[in-house]
Amino acid sequence: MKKHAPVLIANRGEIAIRISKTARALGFPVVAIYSDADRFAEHVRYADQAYYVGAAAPKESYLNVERILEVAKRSGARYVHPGYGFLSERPHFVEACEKAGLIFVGPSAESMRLMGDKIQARQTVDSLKVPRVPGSAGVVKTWQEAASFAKQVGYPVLLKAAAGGGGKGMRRVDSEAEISSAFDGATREAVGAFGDGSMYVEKLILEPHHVEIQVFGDGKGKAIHLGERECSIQRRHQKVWEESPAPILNRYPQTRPAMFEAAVRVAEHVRYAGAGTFEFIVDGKGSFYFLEMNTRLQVEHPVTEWVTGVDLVAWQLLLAAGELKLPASPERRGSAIEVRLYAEDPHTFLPAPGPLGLIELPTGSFVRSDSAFGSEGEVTVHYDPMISKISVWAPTREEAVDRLRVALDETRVESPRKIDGTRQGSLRTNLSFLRRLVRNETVRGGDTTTDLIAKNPDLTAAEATEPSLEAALALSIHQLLTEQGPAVNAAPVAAASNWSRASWREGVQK
Amino acid sequence: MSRIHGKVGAIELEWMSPLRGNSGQAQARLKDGRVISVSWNRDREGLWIETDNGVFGFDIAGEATDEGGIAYHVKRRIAGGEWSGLSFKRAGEESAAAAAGVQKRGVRVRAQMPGKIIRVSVKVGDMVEKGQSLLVMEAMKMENEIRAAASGKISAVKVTEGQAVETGADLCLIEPV
Repeated sequence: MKKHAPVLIANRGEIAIRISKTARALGFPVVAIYSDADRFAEHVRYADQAYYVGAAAPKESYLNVERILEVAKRSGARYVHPGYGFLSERPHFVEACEKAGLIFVGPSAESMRLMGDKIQARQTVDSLKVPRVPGSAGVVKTWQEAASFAKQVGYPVLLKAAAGGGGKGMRRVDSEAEISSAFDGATREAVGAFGDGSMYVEKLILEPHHVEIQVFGDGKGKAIHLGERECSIQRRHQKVWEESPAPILNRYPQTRPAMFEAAVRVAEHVRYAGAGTFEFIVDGKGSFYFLEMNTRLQVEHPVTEWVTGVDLVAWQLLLAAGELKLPASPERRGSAIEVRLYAEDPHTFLPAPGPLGLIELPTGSFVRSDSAFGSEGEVTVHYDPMISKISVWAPTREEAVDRLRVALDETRVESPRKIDGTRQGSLRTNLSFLRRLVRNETVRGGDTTTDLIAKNPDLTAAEATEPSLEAALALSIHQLLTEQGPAVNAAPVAAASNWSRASWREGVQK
Repeated sequence: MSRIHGKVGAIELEWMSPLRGNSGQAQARLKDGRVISVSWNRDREGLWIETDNGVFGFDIAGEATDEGGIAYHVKRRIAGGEWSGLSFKRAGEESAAAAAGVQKRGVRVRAQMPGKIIRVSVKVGDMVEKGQSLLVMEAMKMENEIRAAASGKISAVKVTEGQAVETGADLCLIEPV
């Protein structure tokens, strides 16, 4: 194994762990950082060195450039991998790394500015004649300005935070009556989440499919594509199911090469380095419109790794180390699907973090779990409430869906229990929603649009209240025994976990 | 009393002997007279049972109800299948509660996660419709509208704008009218 200089991972959770695994395989020692909320988090345990960077609030820790660079220096790190979210798309961070003599694993600050800022990105793609959704020429400063644009292109329109991502600071507006309060709400949310309330407006495409192209550039003006991903199944404007190949492009096969060509053209124009993603909307007729570029590794990159056999993080690290010669676009095989397991209510999709007492992730052939947790722990309120990503591969989409169904049925995530059998804390997961999704006829058929959840209310309906005979027998035994006393190992014995001890104490003190 | 008679949903069960221990065996008589032999093995999150039909595992989590009882959420292990709001109600329990004239206290609106109250749109005495917005709360960097789960009259508002709240904190109370 070749020895490399250490890489500092400026992130947390599943992505920090995922990057660690590849880094260590390639001989890059791993430096982790952590906040008050993450002292014993799984990603810290995966590192060769780990450094505290600050309080739980992101701006004190995972967004704290000064502290992170200080730690990088102290640890002897030579590379900085930003993961996704946090500092991954901040050009000033790239520059600060360079100034400190560190190699940022990702694009240059300049290409990040050209493509990462949504308004700047539109000018870039316009100059290259890549189609995009009609939108305001720049930031709209008032709701009146937004309303006058909406009148031009027609409702519905979408308000979007210029600095945004992940659905924060975003609102759909169907009529002029709603626009003023939507503008205020989105601005406030954007200020809270990104420290920047700038808004822009665009026309909302109907029957939309979300399709994105993975690219990889060498930073010298050459780039390749690694196929597409369809991420049309979303809740609260956030992806929850991602797959490749895109079912919508199988219906419009002439659209696929045109999208590949557009993405590669833009990536080469900005001399893009590393992994990046071009997000497009494809309408029900197969026309595509550029949405934005993510100048980083995506959450859903495992889907691409399954169909191409490429370890994207390995490519990122080797490119940063000057050891990657960009090959031709890899061949793509079979079908891959990823779902995101979140700590959230499966009916309302409101975040529901809390202590996690048990987690069991699926295993087996062609099943992959990227998890922030290996055992019990806590989904904290401070960060994104994603618990794990579960992905599968199969020769065909139909087989992949069936494999995913089994994987999801195997998955268990449970709250710790109090002595009276009730849950401790407020953790909920979207697992039951995902299990319904994988059984839904529209999903199985592959014709999914971004409004799937709104169109299928049974996906979020309440659970059944008439049990099977076995469920009734089991429940009555469980209840009658619980009323007599605690379950197995609920007593605080030395081998018991912190959570079972905590639940015991809480039960006793109740 | 060694026999316990009760219902889970519409399924009537009579346990013929007391249930004891983390693993054991017992017979249950169904409404149609059929007797089922059940073995169980309990763990922290629920239990496995064995009947003539095979082995079944369930994760079972209790949830305190507004009426002071516990309702259980039941999930089948490995195979899928999920139910909510279940409990084993002993025979006579329901009618006794009805006879005692248990009053409905109304709907408590509680915080589902820690956060900050941004706006309170109702005051005591307001009539609200099911689905109407009551408050706006910021949690996990997102603004969430909290809507009325039932129609009724607001009989208490326990928070003010700008206040930070913990999970489970009472926000307001809707009294049926």
